[in-house]
Amino acid sequence: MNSKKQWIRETMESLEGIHRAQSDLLVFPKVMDPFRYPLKITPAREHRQRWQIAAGLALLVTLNVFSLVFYDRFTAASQNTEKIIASEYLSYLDTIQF
Amino acid sequence: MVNLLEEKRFIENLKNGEPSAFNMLVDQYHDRVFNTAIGLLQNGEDAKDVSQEVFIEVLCSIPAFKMQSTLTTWIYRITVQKSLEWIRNKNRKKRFAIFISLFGKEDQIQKTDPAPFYHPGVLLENKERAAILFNAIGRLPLNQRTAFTLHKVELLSYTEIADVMQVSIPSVESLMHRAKQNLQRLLADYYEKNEQ
Repeated sequence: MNSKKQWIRETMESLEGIHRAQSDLLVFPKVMDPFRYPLKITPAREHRQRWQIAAGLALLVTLNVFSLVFYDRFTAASQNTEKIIASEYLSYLDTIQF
Repeated sequence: MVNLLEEKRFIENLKNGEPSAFNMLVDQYHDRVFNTAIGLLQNGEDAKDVSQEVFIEVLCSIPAFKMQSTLTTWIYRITVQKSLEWIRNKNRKKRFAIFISLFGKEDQIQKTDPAPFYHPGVLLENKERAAILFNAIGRLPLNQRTAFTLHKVELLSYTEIADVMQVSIPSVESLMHRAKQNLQRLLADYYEKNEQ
């Protein structure tokens, strides 16, 4: 048990004395040589604009779909309403005795 | 005070897009960025790629940098974010591959135990034990892994870690405490399986 605890303690301490891993600047070609490796950078503002345009288009399409759906229902409803009014008027006329 | 003024001037030069300022930035920070990335990712090639992504991000975002933190803290923050994104993407691909393997050939199944990672900065006499420790670190939850790596590999203080992770110092203390408990448990399991 003591050897296990000691082993764990020693393993936990194995990073003592660690120093930074060195990196060679030449391993960063995209950063150090932008002419050879042109960066495709999309600025943050452009990202936002693209999302705003997409949201606007989605809203337009949604509105159009809703108006088409409700136009059909409204037209059908209004036609029924006209028929009802006309039949009531005609039946009213029938009741009038001249 | 002088350092703050110098830093302010340096940031202004970066915002103005001066190539010499950017070269100085890369020169000053590339070791810190690479060391943090390699500590979190435990892979030299991945760390190189992420390090480049970090400097590209710095280049793109420096105009919007409001100096609410120091430049160093900001760069560490970007490095941690990019590294964690990389890890999440890799884990997502692994899960997808395992799902595919249910319907495909057995040789598509991913190994659960990665190759041992030997950090180039560890003392020679500690290399094997450190590799076992890094394996255990790789199994920690990401926030514990981040705090532990920043403290033990990049040697940041708890105050600096709190600034980078944008949490309180007691939160960092709690993360470190839980990380150490989890690591001891994982190492105990490893000892039972391999060392006895």
